[in-house]
Parts: sequence; C-alpha cells; structure tokens
Amino acid sequence: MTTSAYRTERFKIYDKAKEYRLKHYKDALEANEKGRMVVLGNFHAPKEFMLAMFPDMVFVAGEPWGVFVTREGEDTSLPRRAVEEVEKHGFKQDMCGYMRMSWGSMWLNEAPGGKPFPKPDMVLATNQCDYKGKWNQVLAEELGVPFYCVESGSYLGDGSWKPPEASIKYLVNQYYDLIDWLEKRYHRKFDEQKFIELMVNTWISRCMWTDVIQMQSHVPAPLEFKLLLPFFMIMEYWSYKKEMVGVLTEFRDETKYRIEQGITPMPDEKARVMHEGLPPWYALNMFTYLREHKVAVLAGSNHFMFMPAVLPIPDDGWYDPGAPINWTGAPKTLEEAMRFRAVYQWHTDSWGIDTRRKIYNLKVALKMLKAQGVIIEQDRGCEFFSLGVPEMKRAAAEAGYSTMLYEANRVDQREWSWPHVSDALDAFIESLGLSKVKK
Amino acid sequence: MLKKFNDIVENRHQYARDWKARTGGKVLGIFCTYVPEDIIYAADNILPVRILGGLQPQDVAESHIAGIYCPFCRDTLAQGLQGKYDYLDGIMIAKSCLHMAQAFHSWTLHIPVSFSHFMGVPALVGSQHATEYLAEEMTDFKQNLEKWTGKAITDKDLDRGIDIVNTTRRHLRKFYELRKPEPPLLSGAEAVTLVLAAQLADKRELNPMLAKLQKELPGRKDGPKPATRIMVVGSENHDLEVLKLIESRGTNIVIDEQCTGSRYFWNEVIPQKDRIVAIAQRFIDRPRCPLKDVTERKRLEHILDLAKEYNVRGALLVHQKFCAPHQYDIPRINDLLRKNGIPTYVLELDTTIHRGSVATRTEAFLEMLELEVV
Repeated sequence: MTTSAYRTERFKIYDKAKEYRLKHYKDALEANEKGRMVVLGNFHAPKEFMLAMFPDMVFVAGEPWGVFVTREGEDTSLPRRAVEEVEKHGFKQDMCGYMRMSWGSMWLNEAPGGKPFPKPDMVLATNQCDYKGKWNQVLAEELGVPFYCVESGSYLGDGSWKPPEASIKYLVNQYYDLIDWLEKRYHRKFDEQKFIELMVNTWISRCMWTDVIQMQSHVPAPLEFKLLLPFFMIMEYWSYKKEMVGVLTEFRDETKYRIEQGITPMPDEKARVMHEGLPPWYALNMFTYLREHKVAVLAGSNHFMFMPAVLPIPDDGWYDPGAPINWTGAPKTLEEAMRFRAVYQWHTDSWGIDTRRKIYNLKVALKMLKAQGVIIEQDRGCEFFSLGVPEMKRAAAEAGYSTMLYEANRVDQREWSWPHVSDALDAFIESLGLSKVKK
Repeated sequence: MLKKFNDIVENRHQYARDWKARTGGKVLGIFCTYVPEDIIYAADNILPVRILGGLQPQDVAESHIAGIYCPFCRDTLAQGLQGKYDYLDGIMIAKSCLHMAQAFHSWTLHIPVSFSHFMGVPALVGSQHATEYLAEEMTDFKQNLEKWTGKAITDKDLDRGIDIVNTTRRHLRKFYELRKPEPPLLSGAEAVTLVLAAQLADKRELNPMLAKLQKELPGRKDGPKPATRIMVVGSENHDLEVLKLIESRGTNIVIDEQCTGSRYFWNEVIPQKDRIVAIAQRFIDRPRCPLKDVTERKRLEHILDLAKEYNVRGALLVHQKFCAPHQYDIPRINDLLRKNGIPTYVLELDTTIHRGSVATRTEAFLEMLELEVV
C-alpha cells in the first residue's frame, strides 16, 4: 500500500480510557466523604482478593498517583512541593520518583484540584522492587493503618520466562494467608466465585492487550506510544474489571479496524522505533518532536510484560511475543485462578529484575515490531526500570539497531533538560537515516 | 596480633590464588551475606570469597551499570572487569538488592565463569512460608553445587559445613563481646578486619587463628584507649581507613550493625533433622538488612538493643550513596535513637571518600556529643 492509501483518524476508544482514568481519581478523592473503603498500595498489589470481599472498595495505587500529581498538579506547583516535602522528612532526592510524589502529597495532605489526600483503611502491596514494600511500609506507618505485603519468589537469573515452581507455590501460599488475614480482620467471607470471575476478566484483558501489541507489527503501525498509555494504565490497574474487558475489547477491535481501513497516526512513517521506560510525564512533547520527523514510536518492552501469561512458554523458557494467544486458557477453578494470579504477578514482578530477560525481551520486541531503533530512558526516578539499561543499549547496538540513551526523571522536573534530550534525539534521528526538520 | 588477618584482607586476591594452588579447589565469589556458606563448606573443596570493591576510582563499570546505582556495586563489577578476580571459578548471589543483582548479571554477561547461581531469598522473612521457600531455594543451590563438583552433598557434609561456619560465627561473636568493656579490647577497624577476614579466608584455616587470638587478646597492652563510644549502623563498608580515621578523632567504634560487621555472623544455625531447613531458618532469623525488614519491623529494635548493650554515646548512620534500602530506614533509626538519648549523624559513603571531610564531620559530631552531655 502506498502512503496515499493510508489516512489518519481519531482513535475513538482513547477518550473512553481517559474518562475512566479521570473518574477513578474523582472516586479516589471523594471516597472518604462517601464512606467507601479505601486501600492504598501499588499497581500489582493483590487487590483482587480484597475486591472479592469488598466490591465497592476504592484501590488507589501509588504509581499512577505519582503521575496524577505530576501532570494534574502542575498548576499549583504541587509536584515541586511534594518532592521538597519528602526531602524535609529526611529522605533523599535519588529515591523513587513515584514514591516521593505519593509521600509528598500525603504529608502535604494535598491532591491535585485542592482536595485532601485520600485516607486509607489499610495499605496493600507487593514487594516488587527495592522500593514498593518499604514505600508502602512507611506510608502505612505515617497514616497509622494496617499494612499487608506479599512478594513473588525469585527468578532463575538465566533470563528465562518459566517461573520456578517454588516461587509460584510461595506466592500462592501467601495469597491464602492474605485471605485468612482479611477474613479474620474484617469478618467477611472471601467470595471464591467472584475471585475466579476477576481472574477470568484479567485473562481476557491480557489476551486483548497481547493482540493489540502483536498488531503493532503492522506497517504502518495502527497506534503509537502515546495512544497506548491510557490502556497500559488500564492493564496495570483494572484488567480484572468486567467493564475494562469491554474497553479493551473495543481497543482491540478498533485497532484491527484501523489496520483493515488503512488508518494510522503516521501514514508516512519513515522510521520505526521503540521507547524503553515510562516517559517523563511532564515532557510528552518529545513524542510530538519524533512525530514531526516521521519517526513512529511503537511501544516499550514494558508493554510486553502482560503477554507471557497468555502465550505458550516453551520448555527452555524463551518465549516468543508473536506466538498464538491462548484465548481459551482462562482459569475455571479457584486453584487455577490462584495459580494464574501468581504466574502473572511473577511475570510482572520479575520482568524488570533480570538483565538477561530484559535484553532478550527488547530484542524479540524490536524484531516483532520491525523496528530500526530504540530510545532508552535512564530513569533517575526508577531503579527498577533502570536495571540493565546500559546492557540493553549495548546489546541492541551490537545487534545492529540505532540506539539512544537519555537521562530523565519521570516525575521530578528538576532533572529534565530538553536541550540535552533534543540534541540526543537529533543525533538519533540522523542515525536512522533521516534529516532534522527545518523550522 | 592482627597482622595475619590484615594480610588476608589487604592481599585477598593473592590469598585466594595461593589457596587454589595449595588445595586444587575452586573459588566461588559471593555477592551477599545471605549466601549460605554452610552449604558451600559442605561441598567438596570450595572457598567462598565475598567480592569486594577496590576502593579506587574506575571507569569500566559505567557502561554496564547506571550511575544512579551505588558505588559498591559498580566497584565490585569493575574489579571483575579489570581482571582482579580472574581466579574465580564461579559466582553466586543471594537475592538482595537491585544494585547487586545488576553487578551479578553484568558479571555473568561479560566475565566468563564455569558456574553461576542466583538464589532467591524472601524479603518477607516474617511470612510463615518464608523458611520453606528459602529451604527450597537452598536445595536448588545445593543440587547445582553437586552438579558443579560432581559430588553429592550428604547430611554428614552439611553437619560439617554448619559446624565450620558456626564456629566462625561463635568466635566473631566472642570478639564482639570483648568490645563491651571500657575501653574495648578491639577497635572498630580491628573488629571489621576480623569479620572481613572471615568473609575472605578458608574458615577451616581461620578458625584456629581466631581461637588463638581469643586467648592472646585479653593480655594485649596496645589496645584502644578510652574514648567516646559510638556505633556504626548501615550499609556495606569495607573501607578500613575510614573507620581508622573516625577512631583517630577521639572515638571507639564499639559495635556496628552492618553486613561487613555484626549482621554477617550474629546468629548461628541451630541443628535440626532437616539440615537445609535449619540453615534456612538461620537466615530467616538473622539480623535483617533493611530490604528484609518489611511489614513488621525488627531491625530498629535490634539496633536499639545493641546501642544499649554496648553503652554507646552516639551513632553514625552510614550508607553507600544511592543505596535506597538503607535510605529508607535512616530517618526511622535517627528518630528512634534520638528519642532514646543517642545522637546520630548521617555519613554518605562512596568508592573513595574525602578524608578531610570525614575527619571534620566526625569532630563536629563529637563536639555535638559533648554538648549533649553539658
């Protein structure tokens, strides 16, 4: 198909995803007034277990809260005041960015829009990295509420995607302990059937997401990085919700439609690249800059972390992101649902911790997406994402891809320098064989 | 009296090479004190050595590890990339922090060894399933060692391994007891020298040396003089010159809570029928590093107990630059010790440290302690 065979068109489901995000924050900020149960924690906390007991619960994860404060709080200088407040409490600037936004907002008792920080009934976390468990421990202590944490077992350290059985068993055991603790504390029964439903929804959500990411290999791509962002948030946060299964199904269907109809954000893509790491949330204009140069940013390898749970993993553990999706593998029993929860938690928890796996993931993603290069963010506000970054750059370059590394802090604007980043982008664009757009 | 131990620490690479030549055994580099050396000593003729940094500026690790990661992990990797550890036959890590995991992964990618193993360690050591999980990870490690050596590890071997390492732990604990009197019989730098020697030398050779020193030490005339008693709490630090510098300014470091100090040896393996479970239990119960002190805190209480037991006047809270786990706990430790009448000072460590700055800060801290008394 020639360029003229393609056209741009607004991505209709995008607005629905954005609306849901804003509704979530409205619910979070009004939950205390309305007497709803509020639980704070991190994205991958085992909240589904609580939702099987408290369907009306509002779960507020700290990571998107950090984005919320960064982006929505700009008018009131809240992001800057939040990080400064954390430093006044004796914690350093080089600690996790999202955490500092969360804590700062908590200590200031201020959320974007002027409402107070939501007061939780408890804090629930998964000890995903060096930060998540300790972050939420301090949060619970400061707010004087109970804290419950689970953790994945380890990974093999050889890069493979096959979860060790000891790790899965450890996690499932912890889930049963969590149920026991919740039942005793809140005198409610865990609804097994409800939990299974939530896991079935999660399975379907992951299948839909995987389908979309696989479709990103189409030339030209039906979507771009920025369009994926609200759906990535849905995947991290609400993939268990029936409503979100509907949204993600529409997301998949519309993406398919776009390919069939020749709709793309960039009909005249001149280069295809990936972006590693979550971008600086206050500087998404860098993607506009790339678009001006006809560089299509397709996805990041973090987008692939939801995929292995619904794809076949061969015995040697090295998965193929383009493999056929297991649409029919949704759990049917409590045991299967628990196991599925543990396996996908293990995948998301260990995705970023094994350098070999990150390198492999990046290379298979670059190949599947037919990309020519990768922009890698050295995120000074996230050590989890930063792990392995220099090795990933080296490996991608050795494999013949154009690479670019830039330093930023996804929430703390004090560490952003657009002149530096744009210079690096210009060099990267040239390395792709393109010229800088004259203005 | 401590010359032999100093020699082991200062000439650790030569020691390991000599050991290999003498015994024909394998040297296994280890990255964390959660590594179960009891199992390594149960295996056939392997010397576990803690991989340490060179405390010299370097530029070889920067293209492998981000600059926002701690100096210790970059320094250890640099040592490997520079060939200082070319005698290692294998490497092993017990899951600790992201920074050390990165050093380990980069090592496996770029420095050839015939054996590498990544052992999971639960962070939630308070979970009732933690011991079982850790025991499974340790069993996996044991089986991997058996494949590497070609020799099975029996219960009898494990008993031997546990006995060797427990003996070292016991010796070190007794040396630390000798720091309770005023003045202590050992300086802080000397005590850490002994601990580091234990992390570097063959414990089978070291144990008789430690036993001999224990008999000789009470009679020493050249021990520390009375000075302000302080403790050091925090992250890894094997820079003995910094400890000597701090102690030269009118302090005696009478106790520490660090992995290059008391956290390494504080508790023993208590025998059980299942030896692997017994070893796992020891690591679950040991004084926690901050990453293992999640949910219900135990570390703060332990630090305060040490401070009282060793009658300290003040505490230096040290952490490697960019070390998040220790940074989390420092404000809490600060508050707790100050509420209990123990002033604190936070000192950030790097690969190389400006001596003048450390000296000035120590002196200022001591003045602060004197003012507190007034």
